Amino acid sequence: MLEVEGLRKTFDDLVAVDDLSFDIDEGETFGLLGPNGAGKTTAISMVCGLLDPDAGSITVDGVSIEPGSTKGRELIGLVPQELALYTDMNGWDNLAFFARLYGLRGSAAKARIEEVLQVVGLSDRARDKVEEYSGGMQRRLNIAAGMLHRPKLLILDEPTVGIDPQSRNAILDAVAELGTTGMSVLYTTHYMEEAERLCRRVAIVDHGKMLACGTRRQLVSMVDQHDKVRISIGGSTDGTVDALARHSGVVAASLVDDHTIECLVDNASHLLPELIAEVGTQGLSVTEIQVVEPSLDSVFLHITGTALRD
Amino acid sequence: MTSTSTLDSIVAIVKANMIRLRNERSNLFFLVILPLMIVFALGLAIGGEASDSLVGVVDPTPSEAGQTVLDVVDDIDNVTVRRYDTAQELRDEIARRAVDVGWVAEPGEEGGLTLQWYAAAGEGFRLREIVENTVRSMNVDRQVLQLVTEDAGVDEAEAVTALAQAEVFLEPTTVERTTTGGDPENDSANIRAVLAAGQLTLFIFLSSLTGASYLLSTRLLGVTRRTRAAPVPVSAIIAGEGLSRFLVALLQAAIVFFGSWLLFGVDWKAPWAVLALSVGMALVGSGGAMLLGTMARTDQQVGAIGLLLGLVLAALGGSMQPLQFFPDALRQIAFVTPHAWMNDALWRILVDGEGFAQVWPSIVVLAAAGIVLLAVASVALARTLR
Amino acid sequence: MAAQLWALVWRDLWARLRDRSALVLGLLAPAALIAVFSLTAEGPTQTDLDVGYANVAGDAPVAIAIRQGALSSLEADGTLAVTDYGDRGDLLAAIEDGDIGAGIVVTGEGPGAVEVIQDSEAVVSGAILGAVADSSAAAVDGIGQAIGAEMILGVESPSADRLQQRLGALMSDGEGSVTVVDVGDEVGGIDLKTQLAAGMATFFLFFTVQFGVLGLLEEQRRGTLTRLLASPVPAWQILLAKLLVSFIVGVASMACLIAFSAILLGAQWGNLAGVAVLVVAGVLAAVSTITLVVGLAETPEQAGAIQAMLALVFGILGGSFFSVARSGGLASTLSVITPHFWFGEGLVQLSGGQPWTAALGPAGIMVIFAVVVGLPGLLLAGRTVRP
Repeated sequence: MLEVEGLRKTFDDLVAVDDLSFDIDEGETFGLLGPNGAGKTTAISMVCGLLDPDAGSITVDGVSIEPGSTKGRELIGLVPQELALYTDMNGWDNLAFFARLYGLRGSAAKARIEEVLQVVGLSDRARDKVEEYSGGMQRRLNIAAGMLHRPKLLILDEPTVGIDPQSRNAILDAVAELGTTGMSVLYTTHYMEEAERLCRRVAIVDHGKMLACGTRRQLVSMVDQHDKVRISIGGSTDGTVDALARHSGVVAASLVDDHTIECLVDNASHLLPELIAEVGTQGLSVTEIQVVEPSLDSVFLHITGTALRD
Repeated sequence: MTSTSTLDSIVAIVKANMIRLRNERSNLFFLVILPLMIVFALGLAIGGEASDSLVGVVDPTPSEAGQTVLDVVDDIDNVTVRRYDTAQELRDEIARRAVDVGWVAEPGEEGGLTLQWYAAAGEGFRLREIVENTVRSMNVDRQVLQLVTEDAGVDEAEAVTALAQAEVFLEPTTVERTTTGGDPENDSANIRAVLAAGQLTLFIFLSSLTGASYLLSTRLLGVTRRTRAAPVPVSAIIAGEGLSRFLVALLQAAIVFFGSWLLFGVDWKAPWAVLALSVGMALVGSGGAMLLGTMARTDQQVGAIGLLLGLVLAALGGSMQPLQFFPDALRQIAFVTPHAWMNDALWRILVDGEGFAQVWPSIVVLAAAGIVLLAVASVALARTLR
Repeated sequence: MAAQLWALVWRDLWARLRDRSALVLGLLAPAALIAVFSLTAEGPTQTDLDVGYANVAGDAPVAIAIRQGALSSLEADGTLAVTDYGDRGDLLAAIEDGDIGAGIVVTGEGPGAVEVIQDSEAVVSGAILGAVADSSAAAVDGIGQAIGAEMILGVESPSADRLQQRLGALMSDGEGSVTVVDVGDEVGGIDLKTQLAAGMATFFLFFTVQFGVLGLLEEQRRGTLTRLLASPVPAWQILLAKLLVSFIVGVASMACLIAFSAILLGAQWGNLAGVAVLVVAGVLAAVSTITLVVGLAETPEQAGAIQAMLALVFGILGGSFFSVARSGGLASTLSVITPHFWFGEGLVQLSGGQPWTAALGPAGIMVIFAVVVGLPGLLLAGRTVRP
């Protein structure tokens, strides 16, 4: 759906985006993860045709995106980081304005606006001025304005910055919902857990460069991290630790307390049935099992050498 | 996906601007109530008596002589006489310039009368000449009596009798008055129209400039960026914003034009020429507004610069007092403002009775200036959009 | 305690100094308008009034009296510029062409011996010529009457010339029953330039004092007010600091404008101490107004709009743009509710070299205004700093 190839942009001495390449499949939710100032918004601006890249190419659904040409713009829906809405107009009027900019008119526009308001849960507040909305409601309307024209690619630029956890959850749910409708989503964030929750693949960027890209598992395996499996056993753990430690695929096993063993494994989801069976062969039963996969946090720390800056 | 026509985008942008204008309730005050209130207040203040020479009179013991002087002064078309009870009241009113000149009539001996003449700084010199000559006529009888008593060596009673006898044989010199030209009654109506015209000019420009905040906030809110991400050409954004500014200027023109006509009975004489001038001024105002909205960085800047330019250019351009009352050199300088071009043309329409045929050069100047400003502003706006 | 207060005040003042819009509204805009008005206040250059004279009656006494008497003296002192025409038709044509505003035609004997013709708009020229014609005719008739009377009384060969000379002397001495005495110098009074400068300064004062108290609402929205309230600074000091900022900004802008108009434009404000009293009282009135507005408004935009409306209504009513007192009636009665009117009134009282105490009355009324408007304002605005 989106192909970005060798994108580069410098402002004076600052290299904002440096040889960035990635692609997004149809219906995929793709995360662009990086700290503030990593070049995410610059990259997005170029994808939307708002900024002229120094080098590189962008195609959406086979259409090349060029600044100065409006070709292909209708394929993209942008939800900017700032609240790009007229706060002195009501929600409906705002949506009607953007609908018209994308060529939606009359009853078609009306039906679509109602539909989108339904999706973001603002139907009953549509006639209120945006400045009277809560922060979360404004964000939701901001997203609604971006998806009005049924874009093939929806770009969300840090849509959850500075809002309360409840609204944030609502937004994340809505984005997850979009992922199931076949719409491709490009989601930028500096919140690790959002990328983990929403995106099939994530690209980690910092200082304009892409440092890694792939599914979470691919990224984790890149940094050679192990899953952690914590098994609580109803009975004595004495011999079980050694048995588990000898099991193929288990790197190490150790006792946490009288009833709990912690194992480091290569791939927890594959190994889990075997581990439970192993405990069974010892004549014991598993009362609780907990899998801790290594997070992107640790991946990020590993790749950039720094914790994710806020 | 349907494609967007440029026209559609322009309509959308203009419509959004109009909705925002309507949503801001204080606009009702600044665009409608305020200009009409000022036209009304000016009509009361200046269209009424305030533009006249105001003469204050204190005459506690009315006499025939006092009345004669008063009648002469009161008969002058643009003189309004106000009566006061005490000399102190008169002096206070003159000190605060509520009255220009005045006198206190004090009876003297033998039916004589002394007029104590007061004048505010720099005022009433010509009125003084009129009163002076009137008093001269009134004193002639007395002076002639004095000459005759001296020459003939008789007492006053005898001289009075002789003068009365002589008068019978004399044919008095008559003074006849003729007035040409228009009906003098129209003057105050004309002045009222001129003052309303000044406000027409002032508010078209001022409201345009303060409306620049809408253009600025569109950018600050990030809507401009989002609009650019839509399939909308840059030219459509510029045309939409420019047209919005122009419509606001036209709306303001219409409010003052029709408001002063329908509510306060201002006679615009050549309405089409006045409207054409208003359109020219609206072009200038919308160009200025676009430039200001593009250049400014904060809402406070727009407010401050808008008010500064809107009022100062209006004052310099003869919107607050007619150019015809300016010192000569300043009147030349005033024509650097668009206001002066419009106000001068309006004066010629309203006072000199000129029409479209005579004032069209002013319309052309305004329209040309407006188009140049709009072009410059469009280039500036386009630069921010790329 | 005082240190905290001044820290708050100083921070706000510093922010205002760097914020160019405050300088524009507080200084540049009013200064520019004062400059323009003081230029236009000069009025058009007082040129001589153009009038005409035509004599078709030869050496008629009234012709001589008019042309060589009254007209030539008014010509000499620069009141009139007289053009002579051959006949009535030429003179009339000149009026219709707008060359002259009015004219006198001496036609000779009989009714209409003297005709004063004026354009309908040339009211002053017409009135002057009318009075000149009247006084000249009265003098000529008076002399004729005197000759007749002297002949009746047996005076030998009375001389018209000699009588005319002596009558002229009596006339210019102002001898007679009605006399005009100039006492204008005693009145003093404010000059137009100063009046306009004061009007503009007070008009913009109501905008300038916003920089301060209005900050309460801005800080409330930005959230910095909460932080201030959480600090050990007492709440009342936060409010007081904002009031002080408004007051200082107001006084500073008034002082600059007064100095500017006095030094560069020649406005005459009067006794400095008296003007200072007026400025302090006027700024108090303006600060109390914005305090009430801030107390009533919900957002800074709303407060700004309401204050602008009040500033405009007060300015128009109080005579900042044109003298409401001249129009008389309701408007001039209503104008006494505005501080603008009393500021101007204070200057009137100070004019003519009066001591500073002359300003106390008007200043007192402005202080009363400040108290009446400011107390509820303080109570309402105080709610914003109450935790």
